[in-house]
Amino acid sequence: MKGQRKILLLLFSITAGLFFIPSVAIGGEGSEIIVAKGTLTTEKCLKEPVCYLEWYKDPSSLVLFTPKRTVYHLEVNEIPKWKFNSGFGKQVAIKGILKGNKILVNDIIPLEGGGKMSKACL
Amino acid sequence: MKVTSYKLQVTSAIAFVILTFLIGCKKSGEVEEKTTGVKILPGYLVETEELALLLDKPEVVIVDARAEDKYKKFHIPTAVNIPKTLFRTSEDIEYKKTNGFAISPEKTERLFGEAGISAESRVIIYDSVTFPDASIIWTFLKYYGHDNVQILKSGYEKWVSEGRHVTNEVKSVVKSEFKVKPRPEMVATLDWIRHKKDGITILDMRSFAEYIGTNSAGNKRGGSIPSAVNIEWNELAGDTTIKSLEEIHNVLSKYGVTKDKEIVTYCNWGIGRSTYGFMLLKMLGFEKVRVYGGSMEEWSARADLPIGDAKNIPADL
Repeated sequence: MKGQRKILLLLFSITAGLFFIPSVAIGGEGSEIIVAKGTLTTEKCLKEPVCYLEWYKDPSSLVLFTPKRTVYHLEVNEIPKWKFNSGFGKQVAIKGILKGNKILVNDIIPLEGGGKMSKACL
Repeated sequence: MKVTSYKLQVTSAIAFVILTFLIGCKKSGEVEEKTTGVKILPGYLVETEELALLLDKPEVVIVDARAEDKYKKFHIPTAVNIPKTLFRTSEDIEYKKTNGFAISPEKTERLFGEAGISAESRVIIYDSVTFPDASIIWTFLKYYGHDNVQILKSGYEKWVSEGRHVTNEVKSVVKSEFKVKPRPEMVATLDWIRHKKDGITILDMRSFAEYIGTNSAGNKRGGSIPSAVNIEWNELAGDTTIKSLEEIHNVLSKYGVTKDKEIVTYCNWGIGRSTYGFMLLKMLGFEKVRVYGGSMEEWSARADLPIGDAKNIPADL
């Protein structure tokens, strides 16, 4: 009888717990939306004297290198590939959510006069 | 002993079923509202099933907000066509230069009267997919004092996908008398925005490229109103309808848009993307929201006003 009660109590707790999971997930926000500019490159390209890589062939993280030489890692889940093709190695403006040194990119636009930057410019 | 055990099992099974049912309900708007605090107020949207029962009601005026060529091809039976081009004539552009809002009271009375809309009408507007064009008519009706106006949820495409009847027959409209009762508190003018300055949340509903000025979109200067926040209108609109309440909640939270603030929406011409943002916030119960009729067309033409663009983006965060 005691064992049965325990099992039923456990079953009840699991079900009740499931009920509240989505509320907690939705509540986990409070991130800050930002607009930033800098050079769109990859972590590896930042370290190389000359970088011939295209961004999608580079296994290292995409980064934004700001005029004040800060590096932000970019998460780019829902952005179409062409937006990065047109911006890679150039000055870009990025809208996204800042989380520590990471930006979850919402949109990205190459800035005017933004030919590909050489390593010297970085 | 056996009976007690049986009772316990039955009680627990019932509790299990109830809780499981509640979990299933999480997908419905009602429960979603409890977790997000966001809901569409009743009376703003109409389902296709309901509209199908209203087609022959004399007090119902169905408005097709799509382009004229699409309307002529096929439309929902008895619908009249008010495409957005009717709000962007040379007469409207001239009127807006001095009044800051897109159409005059005289034109409104003429246009809506010719569509058969009177004070007694229940107006139901539909658009192609999402509602930027429908929102223009919705906003003008509300601004000029007509409250009995709704939007067809999921628009024309859903109506068609459900196999409901469409026609190319144009209904002969009996003209009505439409009398305007303007509500200036729904509109922001340039002077109002300048006077309010930091006390308001300004939402730029255009694309990020227009916001930072790399795409000037035909305006005198590219860029945005300084201090404006860029929420591209389609962040709040799905492919066929408005986004889910959960997604809307997340977007509004991300940008710090809350009901306690005074909010202004704008785009380039003050109709379309700005009215969509305005309409959606109103549907969500935001009371202190205005649409800036002059929008970037007016702001950018004033060389004495500051503008935000890519040059103003700080060198670091």
